[in-house]
Amino acid sequence: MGNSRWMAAAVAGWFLVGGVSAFAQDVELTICRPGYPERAKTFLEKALGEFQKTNPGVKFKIVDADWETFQSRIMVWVAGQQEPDIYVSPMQQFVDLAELGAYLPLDQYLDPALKADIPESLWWDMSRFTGGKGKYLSVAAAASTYTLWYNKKILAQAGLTRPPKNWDELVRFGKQIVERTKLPAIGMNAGRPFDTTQLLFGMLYFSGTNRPFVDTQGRAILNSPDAVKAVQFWVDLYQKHKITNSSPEQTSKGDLRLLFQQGKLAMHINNPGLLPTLAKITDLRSPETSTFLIGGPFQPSLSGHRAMNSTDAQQWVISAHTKHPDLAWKVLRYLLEPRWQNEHDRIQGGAPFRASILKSMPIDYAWILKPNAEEASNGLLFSPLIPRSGQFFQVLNKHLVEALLGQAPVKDALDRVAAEVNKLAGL
Amino acid sequence: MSVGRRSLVAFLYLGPSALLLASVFLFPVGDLAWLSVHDAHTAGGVKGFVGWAHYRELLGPEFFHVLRTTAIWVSISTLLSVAVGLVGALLLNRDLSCRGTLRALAFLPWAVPHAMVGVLWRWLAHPQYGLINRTLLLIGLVSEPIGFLSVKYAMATAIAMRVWKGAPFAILAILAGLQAIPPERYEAAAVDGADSWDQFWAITLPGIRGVLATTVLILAIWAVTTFDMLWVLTEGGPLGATEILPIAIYRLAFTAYDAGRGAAIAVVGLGISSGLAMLYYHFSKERIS
Repeated sequence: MGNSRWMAAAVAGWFLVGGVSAFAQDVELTICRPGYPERAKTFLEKALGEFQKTNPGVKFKIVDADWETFQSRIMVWVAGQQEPDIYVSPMQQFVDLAELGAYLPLDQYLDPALKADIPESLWWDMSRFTGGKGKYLSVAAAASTYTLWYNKKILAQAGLTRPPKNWDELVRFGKQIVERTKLPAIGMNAGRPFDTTQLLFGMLYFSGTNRPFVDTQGRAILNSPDAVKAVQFWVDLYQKHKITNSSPEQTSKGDLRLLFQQGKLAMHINNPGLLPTLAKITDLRSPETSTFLIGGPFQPSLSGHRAMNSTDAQQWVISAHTKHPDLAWKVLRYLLEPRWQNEHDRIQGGAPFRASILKSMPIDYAWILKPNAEEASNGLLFSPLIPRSGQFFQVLNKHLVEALLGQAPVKDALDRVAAEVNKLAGL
Repeated sequence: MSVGRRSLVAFLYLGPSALLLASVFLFPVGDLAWLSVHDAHTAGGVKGFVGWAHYRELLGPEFFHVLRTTAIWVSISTLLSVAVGLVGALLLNRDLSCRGTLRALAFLPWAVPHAMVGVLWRWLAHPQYGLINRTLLLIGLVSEPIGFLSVKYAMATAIAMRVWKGAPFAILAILAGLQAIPPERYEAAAVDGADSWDQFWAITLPGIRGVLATTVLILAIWAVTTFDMLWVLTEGGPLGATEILPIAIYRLAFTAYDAGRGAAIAVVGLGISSGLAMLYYHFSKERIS
C-alpha cells in the first residue's frame, strides 16, 4: 500500500476512535453534601467509588462546602441552572427552591420499602408549593433532636451528680455551678440569625409550648402566652440569673462548641453532631470513660405537660435541571441503602432514624444516639416549612436579641415578630 | 487634516474601547435601574412593574438608620484613616536608618485581603477568645471582657478595622505628596526662624492639600462600597449596629431574595458613590490644571 493510503487509513482510524469515544463518553454527575466538607467528601468518595465498580462510565464531581458557603451560593446556582445534580438542600431555602421548581419530583421513583423505612414525619408533602406538580421532592438525609450535653467534671466540682431535669433545677443548678466553679453554667448564643434559635432557645421554646413557630398556613403562633413565658425564661437565664456565658449576642454556635470542648462551659444544648468534635478529646465509648454526658430535654415547670423537643432534619434532593434524572435517582437510592446511610450517620455524627438501621445494625456510641433516636418521635421540626425561611429567622433573631438585651419587653418583641412574619407571608 | 476629520479619526480609534466600557458600565446600571422599578425575585425572575413603590418604601426609619450608619462609617473611618496616614507619612518622611523596614511594615495591612481582615479582627475582638480582651484582662486594665462586637461598640471596632486597613494607603499617598515638596522651602523657612509647627502649617499642609483631598475622597468611595470585611466581622449586626448600604443590599437581594428592593437601595448607593466620584474628578482636574 502506498504512503498516501496508509495516511488515509490512519486518519479514518483516528476519526473512528474519536467517534466511538464520543458515543461512549462518561456521564458526570455533580453531588454535594454540605455541612462538614472533609467528612462528607470522605463518605461520598467511598460510597460513590463502590457505585462506580458496578456502574463504569459514571463519573462524579464532589462539591464540598460548609453550610454558610452553600446557602449563599445555591440560589445563584439555581438561577443559572448550575447547581449540583444531587445535594442536601439547606432548610432555610428549602421551600423557596421548591417554589422555584428547582427540585425534581420524586413521586415516581419512591419505593414502598424506602417509604416504610423512614418515619412519616420526615416525608414532607410539598404539593402546595409546587402547584400540584409533585408531592415528594426530597428524601431524608439526616434527622436528630437536640440534647443537653454536660461536662461531668464541672458538675462534680459544683457538687452535682446529675444534670437538671426541669427549668427550676436549671436555674438552681446553674447558680451553684457559677458560684462554685466561676464558669458559665449553660451556653447561650444569639450571634447569628439562624443559630440563635437552634440550641438553647429551641429546646426551651419547644419544650415550653409543644408547638412550632408557625401553624400549617404559615401564620406565626410564637407570641402565645406559653411562648412568652418560655422566651422570658430564656432571657432571664442571661439577664436575671446570670448563668450563661457573657455577650451571647456576640457568640455563635461555633464559639459555644469550642467553649464546651475546652471545658469552659458546664452545659451545652446541641444535637449529636457534636460527637465527632468531642470524640477527639475524650473517650466517648461509654458514660464511664467519657467526660461529656447527655441529659434529656427539660420538663418545664410552667405548663405541666411532657416537653417536646426540637428536631433538625436535612433532605436529599435531585436538581430539576439535571440532564440525567434516572441516573441521579439510581445514585441517590444507592446512597440511601442502609449500609451507606449508617456510614453517613456515623461520619456526620447523626442519630440513626431509619427503622432498618435501628433494628439490626450496629450503632457506634449507642448510649448517646439511641436515646436521641427515641426522642425523635417527640420532636417538632425546628425550621418551619415556609417561604423565605431565612428572612423569618432574621426577623425572629432581631427581636429576640432586642428582648435579650433588655431593649424591648418579651411580649412586645414576640408580637412584633408575629406581625412582621405574617406580613411576609401575606397573611 | 481638517479638525472634523481629526475628530472622526479619534472617535474611530476610541470607539471600540468606549463601546466596551459603556457595555460593562451602562448595561449593568441600566439593568439595575430597571430592576428597581419591578417586583423581582433574585432567582425566580421578574413578576411585574411596580413603579416607585420600592423607593417609597425606603422612606422609613429602617432605611434612614442604614443611611445614618453608613454616614458614620464613611465619615469617621475616612477621616481617622487620613489622620493616621498623615502622622505615619510625616514619621516615615524623616531620615531614619530603618525607614525602609518601617515603610514595609506600615504597608503590610494593605496587602491583607479584605475578607481575611474581617476574620482577623473578629478573632481579635472576640469576647472569650480575643487577643485584645485577653491582654487587657492579663494586665489588669479590665476585670470583665469588653464587648467589642456588642451593639454599643461594634461600629467603633469596625471603624478601627477600617482604619487599620485604610491608613497604609493614606500613608503611601501622603508620603508621595510630602516628597514632592521642594526641601528648599523648609530650608528657607528655617533661615527665617520658622519652627517645625510653623513649617507644618505654612509649607507642609498647603503642599499636600490636593493629595489630602483626593485621599479623603478615594477612601470615602471605598468605605461606601465596603462589604466583605464588614460582613465577615458582624454581618451588619448586632441589631443593625453596623448595617451599611452594601450589607442592606446584600441582605435584601440574597437572603430575602427581593432583587427589586435591593436594586432600589443599590441605585441610592450608586448615587452617593457617583457624587463622591464627581468630587474626586473635580479635585483631580484642579490639581492637574
